[in-house]
Amino acid sequence: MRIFTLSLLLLAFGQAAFPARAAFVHVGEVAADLTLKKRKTGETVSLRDFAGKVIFLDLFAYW
Amino acid sequence: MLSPVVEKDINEYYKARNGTPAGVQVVVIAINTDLTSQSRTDSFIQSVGFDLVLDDPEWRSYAQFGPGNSASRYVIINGLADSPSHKQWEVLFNQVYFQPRQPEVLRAITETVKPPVAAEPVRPALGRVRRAESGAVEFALSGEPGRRYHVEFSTDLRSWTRVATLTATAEGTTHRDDRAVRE
Repeated sequence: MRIFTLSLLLLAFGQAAFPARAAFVHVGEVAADLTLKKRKTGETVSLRDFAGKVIFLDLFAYW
Repeated sequence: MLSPVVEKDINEYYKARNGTPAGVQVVVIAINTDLTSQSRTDSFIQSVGFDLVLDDPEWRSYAQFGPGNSASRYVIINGLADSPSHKQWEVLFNQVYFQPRQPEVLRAITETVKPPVAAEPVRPALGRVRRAESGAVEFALSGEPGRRYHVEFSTDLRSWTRVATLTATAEGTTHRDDRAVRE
């Protein structure tokens, strides 16, 4: 029962944190713009600011 | 965490070569998805040597590209407009892992992006040369509209004298040289 409850919680958290898998952008599809802030300066930067280049995104978290 | 590989074998590699062999520039953007341990994150960023780090506390990048595996995900996107190989903003690679000893696989994917093909320059051409009854010579010039062309003549192919400077139009330009009567 505990496992079942935990599974439900994880499922609920997963649903809240991420959209359904089909909503993710896959290879061959067009990425939407993404606007974030530079860590150093707080300046706003968008993917579209890098038009004309190949963009390599490295998503990371260091705990 | 493969960030050191990305930094060394992608970012530094293409910076040292001023882009791909086809002349396409490559930018590496590190996206930090955790703001709970700032000092450790800063130490990590410094140790890797990232050029550009964006903060993503709301996980917008994961929402678009998919969740990370141990928080990591690697995405390659074509930002070139009019590339003959890919649509602009097309995703070329999107995975939570790549073989760290095979960065050439990532480079091969990166280098599939071809730059736009430059249009062939329009070659100027002279046409419809005819002599009027007065002796004047008329000729037509075709070329890239808006571009200026110098027309020169020579009797020995060594020394040249300018006859006219003409600006080409889409319809073609005609020039009349009245000096031909005298010369």
